[in-house]
Amino acid sequence: MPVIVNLDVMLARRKVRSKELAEAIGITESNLSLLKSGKVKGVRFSTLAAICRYLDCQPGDILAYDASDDDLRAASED
Amino acid sequence: MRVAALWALAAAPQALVPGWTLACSDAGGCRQAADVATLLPEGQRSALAGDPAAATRLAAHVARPAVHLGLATLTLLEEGLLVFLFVAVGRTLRRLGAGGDGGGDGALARALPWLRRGAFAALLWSLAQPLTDSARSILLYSGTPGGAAWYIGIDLTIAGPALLLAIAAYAIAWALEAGVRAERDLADFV
Repeated sequence: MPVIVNLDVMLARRKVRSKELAEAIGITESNLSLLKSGKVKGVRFSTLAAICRYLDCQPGDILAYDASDDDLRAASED
Repeated sequence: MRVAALWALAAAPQALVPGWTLACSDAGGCRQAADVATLLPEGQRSALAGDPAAATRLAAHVARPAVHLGLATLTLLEEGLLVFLFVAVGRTLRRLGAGGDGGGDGALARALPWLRRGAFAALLWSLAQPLTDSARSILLYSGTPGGAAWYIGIDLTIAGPALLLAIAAYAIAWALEAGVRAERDLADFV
């Protein structure tokens, strides 16, 4: 699933540590680590909003997408 | 599980000795009896009551290996399903009561498959009841004065409510399992 999570890039730009962001938005460090590596099934809008508010960015700064025809089939299988 | 074992213990003599019963009372203690006429429908039973020779012929008919095996198989099928139901309910309660990973949700997820199996066994038992009663009567009719005959007896007094309850239990277990799966999926969302 080629949704790319660029959270580590934004953390580096804002010079914010993972631990600090996790505490600020109320998720565990391990969940944040999973999110950074793109190993989560999904992200709640509330979590995304909290990240964007803390890092002063837009969702598009954190998430990117590589087009793939496989994603059309994946949506119908879910 | 102990209840299941006791039930199996009680079912075994019934399979080995058709018409076996154990009656206990304060006055007379426990008395066992083996009367195959109790396995017949009410009408046939009363016809045999006043005819000792017919009762003897019926007992001889039941003693035949093929008939004996057929009656034992039917009893084991019915009682086997009930024993499995007891086992399934016991395992469901044990898993619900046990702690372990995931606390309450984990216990529920582990218990639900057994609840579903128990409900399915109850469903099969309800459907089997009229069939085994009919098959038992057909087997025995050859030993009665009336001779061999077809008998299809569908008494929904017990099987009907049991079937409805079993379907309800199965539907509940199915819905709960779907809910637990959905909750697990959501748990992967951060």
